[in-house]
Amino acid sequence: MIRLQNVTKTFNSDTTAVDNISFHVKEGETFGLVGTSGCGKTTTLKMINRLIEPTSGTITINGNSITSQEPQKLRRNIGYVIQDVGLFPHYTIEQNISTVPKLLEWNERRVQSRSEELLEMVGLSPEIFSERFPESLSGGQQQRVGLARALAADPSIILMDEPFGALDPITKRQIRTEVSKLFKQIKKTIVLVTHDIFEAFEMCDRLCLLDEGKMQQIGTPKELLFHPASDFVDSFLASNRFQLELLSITISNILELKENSELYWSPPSEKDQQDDIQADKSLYEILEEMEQRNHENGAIIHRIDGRVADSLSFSDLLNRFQSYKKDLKIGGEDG
Amino acid sequence: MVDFWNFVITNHAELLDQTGEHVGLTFVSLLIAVIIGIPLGVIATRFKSISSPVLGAVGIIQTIPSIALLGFMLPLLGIGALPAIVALFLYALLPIVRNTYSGIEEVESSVRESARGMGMTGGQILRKVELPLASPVIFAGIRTATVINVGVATLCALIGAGGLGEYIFRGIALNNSVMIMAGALPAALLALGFDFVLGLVERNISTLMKPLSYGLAVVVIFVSLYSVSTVFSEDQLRIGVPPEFLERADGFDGLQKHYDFDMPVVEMNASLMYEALQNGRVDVAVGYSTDGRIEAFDLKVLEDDKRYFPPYECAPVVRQDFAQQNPDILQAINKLAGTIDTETMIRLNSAVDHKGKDERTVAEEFLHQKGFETDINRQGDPEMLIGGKLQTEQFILGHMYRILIENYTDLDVGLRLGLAGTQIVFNALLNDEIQLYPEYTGTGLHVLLEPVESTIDSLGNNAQKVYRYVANESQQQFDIRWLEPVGFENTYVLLMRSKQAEKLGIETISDLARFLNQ
Repeated sequence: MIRLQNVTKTFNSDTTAVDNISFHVKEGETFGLVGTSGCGKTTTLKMINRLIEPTSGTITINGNSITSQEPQKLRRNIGYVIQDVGLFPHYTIEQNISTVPKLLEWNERRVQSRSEELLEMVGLSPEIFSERFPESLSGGQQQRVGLARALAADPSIILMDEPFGALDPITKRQIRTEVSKLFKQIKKTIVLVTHDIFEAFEMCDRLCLLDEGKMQQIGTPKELLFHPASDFVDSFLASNRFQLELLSITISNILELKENSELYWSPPSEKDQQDDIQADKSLYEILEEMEQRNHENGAIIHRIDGRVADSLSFSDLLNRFQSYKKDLKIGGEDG
Repeated sequence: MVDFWNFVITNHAELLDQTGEHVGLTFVSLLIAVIIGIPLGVIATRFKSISSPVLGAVGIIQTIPSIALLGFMLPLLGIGALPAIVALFLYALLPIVRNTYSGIEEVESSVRESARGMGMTGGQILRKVELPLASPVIFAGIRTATVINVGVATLCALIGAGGLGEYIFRGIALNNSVMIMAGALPAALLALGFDFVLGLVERNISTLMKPLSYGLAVVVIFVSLYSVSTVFSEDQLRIGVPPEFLERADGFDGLQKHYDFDMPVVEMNASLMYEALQNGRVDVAVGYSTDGRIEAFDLKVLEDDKRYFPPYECAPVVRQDFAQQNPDILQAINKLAGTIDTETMIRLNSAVDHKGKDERTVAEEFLHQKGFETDINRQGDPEMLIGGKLQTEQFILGHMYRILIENYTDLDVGLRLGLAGTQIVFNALLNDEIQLYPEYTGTGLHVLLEPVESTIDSLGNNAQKVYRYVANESQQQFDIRWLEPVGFENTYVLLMRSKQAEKLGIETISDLARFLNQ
């Protein structure tokens, strides 16, 4: 959907911020631009909505060059979320969200109903928040409004520049989870810039790791982890490797799930009720929840056709994880 | 306080006019400053390369003393409302440009970035985001400019633009604190009032912004145009009058009564009078007969055919006790007696006003030519001070007396020349702050002694009688001694442009009165 070809950006003719980058973001995927600060990830993002013009190379959206239309028109069809949110302090929340629809000259009624719909979508009650001003909102609430504003005109592409960077860890985690869920529902193509590798692993289908403006590797989180293209990629992930591995491997990876498989917690948190587990949960989340349940004989039960196939304790899960990793490295297979 | 209220009540019509002119000057200039300053501030934010030159330039204008800025306007724009408005406009520029610039610069970069990122055009960002967010800061700048302008506008009276400064400067010239107060208090109240109202607007700017700014703009435009039109209008003959002459017993009111005419007055500083007359800002001016510019500017002196003006023989005045203690000084001073006739004085004045020589040199050359010693020039701490009014010849005479005293006695002499008005100089003499200054007999008669009318009539404007009367009375009333006259007379005269006088067939003041009464 978004295609960058040999894109280079030099500032002041001698600083090369982005050096000959090419990648393709597929429709509906969340694509991460990752790297340390100054690696060129934000510059790359801003070239997609022409806040920065590339020095050379081409960028196309759905096959059309982004230079074929006015930058303002282009930007109205691309959602944009930044770290500091940048809500207009003199506009109410509703006016903030309605900015782009108004630029697109939607009629009044449509603008209003869209704004209410979006507030609901990001978990803020329109009755309470519509008429308030940004300064009366918490950081997390502001970022939700920022997100609603980016989604206002229903753009198919959303660019996000460190969207959760200014939030405290707890709010950050919460909003991130909600946003991931939301994105899966609304099926947008998302380009996410982040220096937080956990955030990238949690949210992105594929990643592009940049260093000093150069592309180091593009691939799924798992590919980067288990098949790093260079020593740089390997060492970039090294310090958090264990955690990232747990994050990138799902429970379905280490079990042989069948069509009629059921996964649930034992014992259940309430009697006579089955606590189902979703198959795409990462091992990290499973282990974390198991810790929180803190049950002596707590385990995960895997049933096929009503018959118990597996019963896995904390240490069983870790053993399966280790052997799965071994297979991965030998087989070169990826999930 | 009672004096003050009486003054205000008696002069309320004039006071109201002046207030109107004052508000007009303030707001016309402010309006222009807003119309030009805000775009200038915006442009400065758009092109970083010009931002510091622009802000620097308006900053430098602000550092020019306001009275000097008005002075710079004179050769370019003459006198009256126009140069005043231009000067006030330049003053108002800095707070408006700077606050517009910093108001927009202070808009958070994230807000600007998100506005761009959402697809707003440059114009939309300016109108919908930057200007609304900067508006409290911009408005604070306008408010500052208003208060500055109300203050500076008082100085505009100096260049004949009217306003509340007229009473202030007239009051200073006449040493009349009630009159000063009558100008200063309304000016201060105006400043406070505007500051308060604009402060209210500023605090509620987000809600009041649109209706108020339009409403305010309309009101301001109307008020300003009205008041300025009163300053600019009228096609009848007008007379330029220095503040002191307006209030003197031998001044304008008496002149109008004596010749039975009535004409609109433009009050202005005596030194601007000739310029104003030449530029056609006024058609008649009150000047001094010894002024070198009468000839240089080709002006017609209207004959005082009904002998309204008393003789104005120039003579130095000293304190009695000083005269007794310093006979040698009197001797030195009296060397000048009878040496300068009116022709000579005109020539000397002209050398300063026209040929650009300095007063000291002119004084020295004259004395040298007359055969006096001029070589000694002491630089020590002054043991006596010579005063003088704000007239060229008083400067020249002051220097002459200093040279004479320093050459013929062993005293060091200091100068306090250019004091603004008879009362101020005379009071300085009474208080022993100065010991000597040149005065005119007519002025002594009408301003200092103010005798009853029958006494004045009995003197019959005879030069010798007036001198004798003034010398005697001054000694008795004030302990002040008049020394021997210098020789020239410097009377008040009414001046017109020669061409216009010829065209209208005006030779005498009676002719002028006849013309006005047609």
